[in-house]
Amino acid sequence: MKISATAAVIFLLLVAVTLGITYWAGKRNKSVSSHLVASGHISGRQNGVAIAGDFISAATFLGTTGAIALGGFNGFYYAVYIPIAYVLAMLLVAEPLRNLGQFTLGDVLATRFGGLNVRGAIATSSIVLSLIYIVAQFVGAALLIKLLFGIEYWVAAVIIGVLTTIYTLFGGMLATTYIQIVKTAILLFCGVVLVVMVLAKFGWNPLTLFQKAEAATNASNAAAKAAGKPMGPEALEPFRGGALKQWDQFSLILGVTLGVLGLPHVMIRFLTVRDSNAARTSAVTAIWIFAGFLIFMPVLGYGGMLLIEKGRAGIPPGGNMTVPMLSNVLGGDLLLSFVSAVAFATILAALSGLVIATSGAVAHDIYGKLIKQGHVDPTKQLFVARAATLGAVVVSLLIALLVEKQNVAFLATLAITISASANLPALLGTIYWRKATAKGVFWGMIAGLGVAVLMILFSTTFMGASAPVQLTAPGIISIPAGFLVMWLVSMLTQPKGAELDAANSLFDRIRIQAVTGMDPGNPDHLTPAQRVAGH
Amino acid sequence: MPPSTPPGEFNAEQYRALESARKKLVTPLVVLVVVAFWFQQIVTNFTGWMDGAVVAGLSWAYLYAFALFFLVVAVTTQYRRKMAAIEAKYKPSGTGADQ
Repeated sequence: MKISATAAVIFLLLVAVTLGITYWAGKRNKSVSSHLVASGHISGRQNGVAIAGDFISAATFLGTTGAIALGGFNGFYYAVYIPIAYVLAMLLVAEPLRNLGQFTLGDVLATRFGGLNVRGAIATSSIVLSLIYIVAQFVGAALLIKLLFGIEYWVAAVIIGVLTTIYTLFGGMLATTYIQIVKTAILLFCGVVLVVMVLAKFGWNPLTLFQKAEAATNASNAAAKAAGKPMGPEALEPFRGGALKQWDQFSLILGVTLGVLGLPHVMIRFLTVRDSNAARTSAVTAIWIFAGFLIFMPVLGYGGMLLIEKGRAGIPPGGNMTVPMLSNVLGGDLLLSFVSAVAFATILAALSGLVIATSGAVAHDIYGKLIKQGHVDPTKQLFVARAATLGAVVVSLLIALLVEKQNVAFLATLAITISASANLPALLGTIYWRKATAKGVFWGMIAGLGVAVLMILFSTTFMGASAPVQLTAPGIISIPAGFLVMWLVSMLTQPKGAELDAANSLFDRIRIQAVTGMDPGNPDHLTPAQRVAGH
Repeated sequence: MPPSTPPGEFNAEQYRALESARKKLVTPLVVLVVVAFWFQQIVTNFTGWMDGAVVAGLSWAYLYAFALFFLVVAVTTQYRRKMAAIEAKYKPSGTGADQ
């Protein structure tokens, strides 16, 4: 599919707007704090829209719609988990994170476990999973742009890399946030236009659309059965392809749902607001946008299935082209161009957030805290943050150029599963579990990360059908492994005597700060009577 | 990170009440969301209980999935309203409750 001059004009207009935002933000981006967390100056509502934009990415808007068009009800699983994951993030993580953190997830853990091992482990985990995520996004984005605009893969990758570098290097988190807000607004407008146009074709009744989708899949399955060919998933009923596929599906949803609560680029968004109240507003705003937008994904998916020429058979494998093809059917070149430009902006905004999260872990955790032991010159730290920004884009771009022909779909699954298996046990243990120890948290992270990576390496993804691990999504094993090892090692390394008193006092102090945002000061100032039962 | 508050300004009783009220609000909501979501995952993924149609064009599986969207909106509304009331009652001044 090649796009006309209309697309080029809309595309250039959108790029001009984003560069304008970057120029404006660049004049304000003068410190490490502004570069990494916009100095905490983003309002709760604005941050909520940006958070929603981070997760209503190209994978959601294009991928989930395509998954519903091709896979029926099962595709909707990829929409339902998102608001659920964010409700859990709101209830369990968002506010404590705002009250305890400064720039990174490592700050939260370091409030309780001052040693370098724990900060080093969470920083490494954050950098590894963010880079994996960036590569996955880069490859997917470049392939999509190649398809949409009819340009070479490497050209698409370089354009994406250059624009992402400009946004993040000069505009930092402030530019990234406002670009994300603008993109979310345009994407939501685009989604509403498409939903209205689809419903107009089916008498404004979603149930009519659903009935026709069901009739279409029933007819194609009857024809496939008569011809002795495999039947496709039905439109409205869950598809269960045998025990292994069912467990794999369950494992994948477990990983992606819990993974949201530990993803650095998602969680650091809660550090861009001034207090826990604003963090709560951010989460609520994001969840309402998710609920209002994602509930209409089946309308677009089934609209695509019914309106695109040849139905499911006319949609290329993977389903990512469903929305662009549907746009072309409904609104011709103008709507297709608009949707393509929005998809492009979506990719750039999502990548920018990931790059900022990576540079934060490098500049603040690795350089500032591990190498410089906290005695760091702010100017040098800002330089390191910008160098890390550039490094993250260049490394990801080079890997993306090398793996063009490889199937890298597993990378996104691996990244979010590492988040659920390594980062989440550490975060929850630090915030909520009195008996957690530094060694327990450290080894829990190593176990979660190690099991997730090993399971992917020994799975059918790498070793073919005879692989020892038949699951392609490791979450169902690696997540419990992370929690179990943290529990076991913590129980084996419980402090005694004066160390126990100090650990309890520190935990009380962390709890107070996590709940109120107020540091009660030196734990020695708390008498036993003032201590509060742990949770 | 919010600035440190001198130990003298910390009121343990006030904090204990805040933490307890927060726990009483958050725990049932977490349990509700987790049970509702994973029950849907298990029932639709491993059984055929939700395969039938509620009305023409709407399966039980879809009805349940749509209901989860309304659940999250209800939970966030409830949480926001009740936390505001809890903080107004218990939270120390200058810690964000009134902002």
